[in-house]
Amino acid sequence: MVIYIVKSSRIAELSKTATYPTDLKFEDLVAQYKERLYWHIRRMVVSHDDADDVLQNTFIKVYKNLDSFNGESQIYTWLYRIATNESITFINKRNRRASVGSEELQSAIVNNLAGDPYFNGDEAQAKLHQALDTLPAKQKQVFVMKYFDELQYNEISEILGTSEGALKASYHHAVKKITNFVTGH
Amino acid sequence: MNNNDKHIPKDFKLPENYFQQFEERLYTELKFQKLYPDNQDGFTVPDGYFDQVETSILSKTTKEPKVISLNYKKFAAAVATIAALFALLFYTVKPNANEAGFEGLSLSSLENYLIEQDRIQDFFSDEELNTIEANTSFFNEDHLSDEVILEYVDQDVIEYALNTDD
Repeated sequence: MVIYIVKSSRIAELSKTATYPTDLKFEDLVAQYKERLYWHIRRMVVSHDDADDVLQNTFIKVYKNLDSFNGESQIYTWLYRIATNESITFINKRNRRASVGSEELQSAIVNNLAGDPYFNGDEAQAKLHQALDTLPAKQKQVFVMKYFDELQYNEISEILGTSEGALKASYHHAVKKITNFVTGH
Repeated sequence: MNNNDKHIPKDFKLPENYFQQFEERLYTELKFQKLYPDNQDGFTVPDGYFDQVETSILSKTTKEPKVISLNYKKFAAAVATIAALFALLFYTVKPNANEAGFEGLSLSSLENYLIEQDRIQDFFSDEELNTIEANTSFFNEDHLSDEVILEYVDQDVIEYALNTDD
């Protein structure tokens, strides 16, 4: 079954923009972006099972909110924004259910990485995740998007609604803190 | 004056201490790149996961969309209207009251939530969520029930407004 994500009444409107192909189907979106969004989410929530939940919630939200996409931004920045918000919502909800502080729960997850069947990184990579865990949420988001997701500052700016200057400062602070954490300084 | 400053053309300006900050940022980045030259995170996924998740997502989104009955919309509008009236009454009668309660909730958030009947976290701000959590059993409920809505309207808005002295 083919699912057209652009309703007929919106095609003419969207065709005015160069950033959104009007014949794109929801199936294509899932096929094209599922992996990129998964890795972005995974680096935020750490556990594979949690990332799987958030990825599915993200695409269901995309499906339900297609009309709200105005075509002014690139489709993947819109998807990233939803994935980022879903990740944050999930982390907050997870913390509420566990009735513990966010840092405490996240630290427990990160410290158990060695026993995670879906983590095969070395000691240095585990240390990197521990260092990431010490960062404020915003700095972690910026670092993940810049270093792991390899997004440009202008793209991150569009996703997070933060100026490029502030993003550069956040990234620099994140890199400095991670380096200090890993080297023990 | 920094040694580098003498090279700045007359018509240009730089942020204060730019070159010192540039060096600091550069060496921090180089130190980090030496520790982590590859942007690998060590995470893996189960075999065939991405094929499976695609199938799962498409199966969930091809179901019949949830139909919102006219009656429910009317009910949501009625709740919002009642809340708005009591909020207006409350502020008219007692304009200086600052106690934390449901009057701080955004009516549009409540209205959107009632119409969408989706996850509560998606429609309220953190501040609003804290207010709801402190005043109701919302987070003990898997789904929004009429009782919870009535708890919101009856116990915390109507009773509070009616029982307020002044």
